[in-house]
Amino acid sequence: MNNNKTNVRPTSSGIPSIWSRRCGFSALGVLCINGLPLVTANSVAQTIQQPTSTLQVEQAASNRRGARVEMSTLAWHAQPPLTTLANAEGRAASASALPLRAPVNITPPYTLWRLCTELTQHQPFDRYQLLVAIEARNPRAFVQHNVHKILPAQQLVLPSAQQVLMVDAQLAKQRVEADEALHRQRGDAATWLGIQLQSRQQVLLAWQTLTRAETAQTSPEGQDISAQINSNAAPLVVPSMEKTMATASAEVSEPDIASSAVTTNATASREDSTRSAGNDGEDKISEVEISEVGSVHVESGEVGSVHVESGEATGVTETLSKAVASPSTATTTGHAAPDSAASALEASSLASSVIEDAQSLDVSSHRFEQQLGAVWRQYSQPGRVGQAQQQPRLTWQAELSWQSADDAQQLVIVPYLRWDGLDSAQHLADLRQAYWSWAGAGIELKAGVDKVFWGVTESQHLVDIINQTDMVARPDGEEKLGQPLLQMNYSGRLGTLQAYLLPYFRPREFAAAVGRIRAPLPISETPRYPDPQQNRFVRDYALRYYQQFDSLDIAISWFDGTAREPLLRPDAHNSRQLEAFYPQLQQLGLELQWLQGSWLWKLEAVERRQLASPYQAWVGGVEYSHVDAFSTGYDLGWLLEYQYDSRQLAATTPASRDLFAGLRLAFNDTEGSELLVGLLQDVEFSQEQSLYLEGSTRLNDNMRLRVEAWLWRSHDMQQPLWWVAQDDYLQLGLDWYF
Amino acid sequence: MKHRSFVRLRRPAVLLWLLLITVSFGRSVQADPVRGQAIAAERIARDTGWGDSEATTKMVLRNSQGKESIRLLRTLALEVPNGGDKGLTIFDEPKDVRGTAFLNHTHIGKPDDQWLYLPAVKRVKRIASANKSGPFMASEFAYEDLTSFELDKFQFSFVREERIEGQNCAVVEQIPTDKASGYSKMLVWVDLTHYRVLKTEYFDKKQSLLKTLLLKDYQLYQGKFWRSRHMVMQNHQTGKSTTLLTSDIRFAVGKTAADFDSNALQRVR
Repeated sequence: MNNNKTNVRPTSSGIPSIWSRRCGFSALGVLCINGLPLVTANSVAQTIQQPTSTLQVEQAASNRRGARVEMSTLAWHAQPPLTTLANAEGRAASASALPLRAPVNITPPYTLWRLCTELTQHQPFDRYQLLVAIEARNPRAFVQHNVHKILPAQQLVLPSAQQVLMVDAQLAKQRVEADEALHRQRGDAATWLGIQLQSRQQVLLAWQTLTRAETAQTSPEGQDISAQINSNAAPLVVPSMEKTMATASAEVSEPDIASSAVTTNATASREDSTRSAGNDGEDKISEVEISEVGSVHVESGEVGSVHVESGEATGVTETLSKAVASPSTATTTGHAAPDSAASALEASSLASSVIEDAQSLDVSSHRFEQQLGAVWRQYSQPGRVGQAQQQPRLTWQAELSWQSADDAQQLVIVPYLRWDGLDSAQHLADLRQAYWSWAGAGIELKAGVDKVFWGVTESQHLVDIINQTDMVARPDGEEKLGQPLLQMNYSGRLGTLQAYLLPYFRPREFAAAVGRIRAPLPISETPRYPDPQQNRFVRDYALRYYQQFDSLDIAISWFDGTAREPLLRPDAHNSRQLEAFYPQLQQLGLELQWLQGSWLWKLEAVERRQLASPYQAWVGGVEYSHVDAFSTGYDLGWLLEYQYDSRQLAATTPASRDLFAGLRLAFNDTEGSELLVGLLQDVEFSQEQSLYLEGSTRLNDNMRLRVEAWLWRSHDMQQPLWWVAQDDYLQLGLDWYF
Repeated sequence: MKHRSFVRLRRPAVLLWLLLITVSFGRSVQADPVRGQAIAAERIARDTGWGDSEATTKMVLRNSQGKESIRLLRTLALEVPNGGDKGLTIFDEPKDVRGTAFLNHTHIGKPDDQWLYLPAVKRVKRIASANKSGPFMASEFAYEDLTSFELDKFQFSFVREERIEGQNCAVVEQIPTDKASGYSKMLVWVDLTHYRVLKTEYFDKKQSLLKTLLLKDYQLYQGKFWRSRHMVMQNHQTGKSTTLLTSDIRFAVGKTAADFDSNALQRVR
């Protein structure tokens, strides 16, 4: 695959000449004459390796712009070959064939969209389904798998009616609209947006394929996936269905491999161009990258089509049987963690017997405190791939601290252990904190592992970037992994300046296949970086300036390093899992807080730049405190915040254009009972919403009972929220402090 | 037009009623604002120059059935000459809130600045100080009962002299100037020897007696500063009470403004 890299060279139009290879491939490989049956997957695999021709694309740039499907005019010797659509099922009009008797040339103003509209007039499916099916059947004929970006001089193969019917109508419509939205995006942002949206679509397609395959195998109209997984019997396969499915999955999962190969390749070639272009090459990739993605695509097509031969149907069953097998492995490996937790507990009780609580303030003081948590999480229904509904969990955390006699020096160690009864991948042994700090006149130094919080808002923490989020612990991202750092604070009259060196990167923890609240496909444990040489030892840094003016707080921050939030995309080496890709990120952050009586106005805004694409996000709102509300003795806090993300659909969080309304209730009782309810409503998509509830009360001096519930609503596969829409849960927890 | 004249007619009537209520409740023969102000000024003068202090406090909450629950806290205070004092409270028990810290910068003529440090998320959260009338840790003490005593916070008037606990006291009426206060007025018993507060009665917004604070076990520190080590706040409307037992009171421990900065909350142990 790599030997073709040299073919990638940008032309003046930004389209590399390697596109000629694609045209050559279609001219040589897809022989479509008078509607004869055409290409099988195998023949594509062979023809694709044919030597390339020297076709020149004259005006292909228009493909990237313009509305809907627009064909470019081409010059190929004298006779321009046009994009042609033909019926895969051949001349014999069988029941499954579409009414296309002869190949149709699609030249402007005639478009693929119009063709789809015409073809679907008397069909049990609509034009969206057909368009998506065409793209799935001819992945190499479209740029970045966008149905609106058809390549010129292509011979398209029409899918069978069965294949079209397998495309979900609602999803197809969303997909076409999303592609159009993407198509309309301009400039640099398109790169990032494209990659984001694209990988999400591929993830969804792969997921759809898996589940559809499953459904097809057991009961064609059945939806009970969990039943399928729980039954250990080998799935019965109806031969004819298997055949259809194998083709379908081959067609659909092919883009996964293709695109991930594209990204890696594009990165590699980008590296080359960077090297040749000098230092500022990295900033210029935006234009080039689009074309590179398009071009490298052909090579990756080889992988895709070769892959077809292995047969996807068995692969699907394999994954499923794996999913069945893994709960048992989870339980066997699960025992290791409690043992270690128990030994840690023993060690800590020993320690506490040695160390006495020194309250005296003259001498240096120690403290040793522990916290044991037991949690039972009950999901409302089985997961998308039939994961269990119960998730017990145990956590242990200790805090050992030492303070010098003059209070200047501190040593803090906070180990944390987590055992999860559902998913062994969620076991965790972490050092939440382990640092030494020294504070002098206006200066504070810190070295070690610590947790740093930036920000003012409640519904989302945008500027907070130092620590990796422990998403497994809490879906709202309030828990953090410890971050190795070197920190210096300088406080003066002009404010506080904080400088952080972050020498080690911590990738995010993810749930495994059996775990819950996760992406539709499991995520590889190996994190990926733009630079293949990169490891976890990095030179990330951050700065923050903070000042208080009376009732106004301002903070400006800067971060340059590895993004904490990964981009999930299909794994290049395993199409049945995703990989977490951590691009480099530069983030400029702003925090504003203004106190006005009982009103607390808040704003967090970031300008982020990753993969050469800038985007903005902000969250702002108000918190109102109502003491002794309605003479009940309770304190009420009202929260109203708006979340914005300029990436819109491509945003990696559900917070693209969302309104958050929250209510915090403090009962002011001896038990310190509290209740927090939050509703997050997507402003654009009324069916996207999440409801959050958290309550706690003290049982006695050492115990606290906690209740937590999450409800997610999403009817749109394009939304990040959709992935967790089946993971509504209620959680009961007991924390024991000693 | 008719409506407006109705309002105009009502106003004197309301004023009259208010006057009647004040007279009947106050039972004061002659309220003396000048003397009240002078006593308050003397209180402050006698408690000036302590610099900084720290103490350990045990808080006993008792509900109307007599059931007790205990809170342990440490308090640090910094005197700010010609300005509001600063206070830092660190919670040790109950254990689920240990490490939580509350920082208060008292201001004269404007709302206090308050921050809460939440150790679990290492977050310093600014809080709206308008909650001054809210209960402090579910006790019978409100936030405003625990912030520093400043002249500008009240309108004073001397009511009468009265002997309690064997000491001659001046009873001073204090009306909060801040509308966010939970009280309509307070009656404060100040002993005329050392100008220490021995008792305070708090009246709610409806002018009825809400709470009584008794301050006992006064001890002299640094030869100059009196501190009560046993305070009992009794709520007459709910039957609940809170006792504050203070020990380990120490002065001049070397705390500076930097220790009361919101940045320093992160270092609190």
